Amino acid sequence: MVVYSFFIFDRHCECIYIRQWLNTASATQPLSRPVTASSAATVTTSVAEKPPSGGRLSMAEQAKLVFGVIFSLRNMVKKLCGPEDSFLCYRTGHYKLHYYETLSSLRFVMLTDIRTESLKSSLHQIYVNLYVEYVVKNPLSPVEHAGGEGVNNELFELGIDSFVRTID
Amino acid sequence: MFLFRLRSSRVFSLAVTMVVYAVLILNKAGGLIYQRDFNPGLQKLSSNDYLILAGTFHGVHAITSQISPTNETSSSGLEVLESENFVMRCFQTLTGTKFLIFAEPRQQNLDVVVRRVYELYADYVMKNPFYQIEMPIRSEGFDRHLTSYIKPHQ
Amino acid sequence: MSSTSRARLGEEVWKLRTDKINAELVTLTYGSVVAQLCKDLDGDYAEVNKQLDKMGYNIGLRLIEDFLAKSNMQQKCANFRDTADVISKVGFKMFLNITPTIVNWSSDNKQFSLLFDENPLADFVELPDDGKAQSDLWYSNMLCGVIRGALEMVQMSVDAHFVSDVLRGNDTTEMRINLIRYIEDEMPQDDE
Repeated sequence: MVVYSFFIFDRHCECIYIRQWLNTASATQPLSRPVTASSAATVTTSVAEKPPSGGRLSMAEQAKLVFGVIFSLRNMVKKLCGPEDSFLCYRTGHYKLHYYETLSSLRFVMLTDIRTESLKSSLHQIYVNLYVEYVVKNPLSPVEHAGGEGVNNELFELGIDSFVRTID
Repeated sequence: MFLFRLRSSRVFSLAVTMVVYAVLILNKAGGLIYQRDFNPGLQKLSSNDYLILAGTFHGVHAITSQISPTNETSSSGLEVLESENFVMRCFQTLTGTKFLIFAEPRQQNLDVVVRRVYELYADYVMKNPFYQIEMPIRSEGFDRHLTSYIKPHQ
Repeated sequence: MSSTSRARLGEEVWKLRTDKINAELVTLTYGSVVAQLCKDLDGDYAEVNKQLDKMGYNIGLRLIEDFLAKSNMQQKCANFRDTADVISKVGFKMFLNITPTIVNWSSDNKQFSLLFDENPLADFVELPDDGKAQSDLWYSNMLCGVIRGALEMVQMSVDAHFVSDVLRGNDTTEMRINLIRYIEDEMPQDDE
C-alpha cells in the first residue's frame, strides 16, 4: 500500500495541512525526505524540491482542487442519500481518495494507490491520536489555524510519518 | 455482425442479491439525458436537482483526473464512489458519455451491470435513427429492457 | 442512541479513557483563577463573569475535539433534546464525573436547564461577604463558556448562563441553555 498525500481542511474550507510523499518513480531526491508545506507561504522552502515533471500543479493549487472535489462529492452524497449519509472514498484508474469528516467539520483527506481498502478508521485514528493530542491540546497553538499555523508542529509531523509507515 | 445480434437478444439477468437503486446517463457536456429510480434507497429529488447534480458531477469528474498524484500522462477520472449507504460506479465511454449506476454498498459485480447497460444503450438508443444524439433519452424499448434487467421479477 | 446507552458510554469513557487528576488540585486551581480575577478587576464582578465566560469559550473550542475523539461519536444529534442528553450524560460525565439533571424544557424545545446537585469546581467555596459578590458573581461561569464554545464547533449557536447558584444562597445551582440557531456549513470563498 502506497500513501501519496495527506490533507487536512478546517470548517472554514481552508487547507491547514498538506503532506506529500514523493513517488519513487519520479523523485530525484531520496524517498525519506517528504515534501511538507503547511501553507502556501512556506512553499518557498520546497521550491528546490519540486518534482521534475513540468505539468505538475503547485501544492496550494492541488489543495484547492482537492477541496473542491471533496466538498462537491460530500454535498452530492448528502443530497442523494440524506444528511445521515457520508462520503467515504472514491477510486479512479490511478489512485484512491479517502475522506473522513469529524462532527466539528474537520476534513481529513488521504490519496493512496488503488489497492488500499477504505481508510476511514485510519483517518479517525489520526484525528484521535495525533490531531487531538498534538494540535488541539497544544496550548501554544491557536484554535483557528489560518494558513496552517500551529498544525505542523514537530510531534504531529513525526506522528504522521510513523503512522503512515505502519500502514504502508 | 450476426453473432453480435444473437448475443444481444439473449436474456441476461442480474444475480439475485443485486440491488440497483438508480441509473443516470450524462452526455458529453455533462447534461443529464436519462434518470431512472429502480429500487428505494436514494432520496426523492426533483428533476432540476438531478440536472444540477449531473452538471456538478461532470465538473468533479474532470478534476479527479487532474489531481492524480501519479505521473501518468493519461489519467482517468473517478470510477467508483463509495458512501455509507450506497456505491456508485461511473463508466465513461470513449465517446464521453457517462453512465452512473447507484447500488447498495459492497456490490461485487457492478462492472457487469455497467457493461449490460451500455449494451442496451448502444442497441435501443443509438440504433434508433430518430433519437437525437446528446438529447434526453425517451425510448420505451430502452426503459423496458433496462427495467426487466434490473428488476427481473417485477 | 438511547439515553441509557449514552449514560453507559459516559461511564465507560470516564472509567477507561480518561487520565485522572487529583480533585483538590482542580478545585484549588480554578479557585485561584477566580480569586485572582476578582483582585485584578477590582471587584467588578460583571467583568469577572465575562472573563470567566471568555476563558471557558476558548477551552470549549478545543475540548470538543477531545470529547469527539474519546467518546467516538460519529453521528450528529437528531435534535436539541438529544444534544442536551449528550451534554449531561457523556460530556459532563467525562470531564467532571457528574451528571446534571435536564429540566424545564421550553415548549419549542429550544431551551432547557441543567441542575447541578454537585459542582466539583465549587467545593469548600464561600463567596466574599462584600455585599456585591453574592448578587453579582457567578462563580462557575467558566462552564457556560465551555458549553458555548464546544457547541459552536458543532454548528450550534447557544447562550448559556446561570440563573441560580447555591453559593449565592439559592436552593439549587441551575444553568439555562438556549439554542439561538443552527449554524450553516461554511461554503468555500469564491476566487473571482
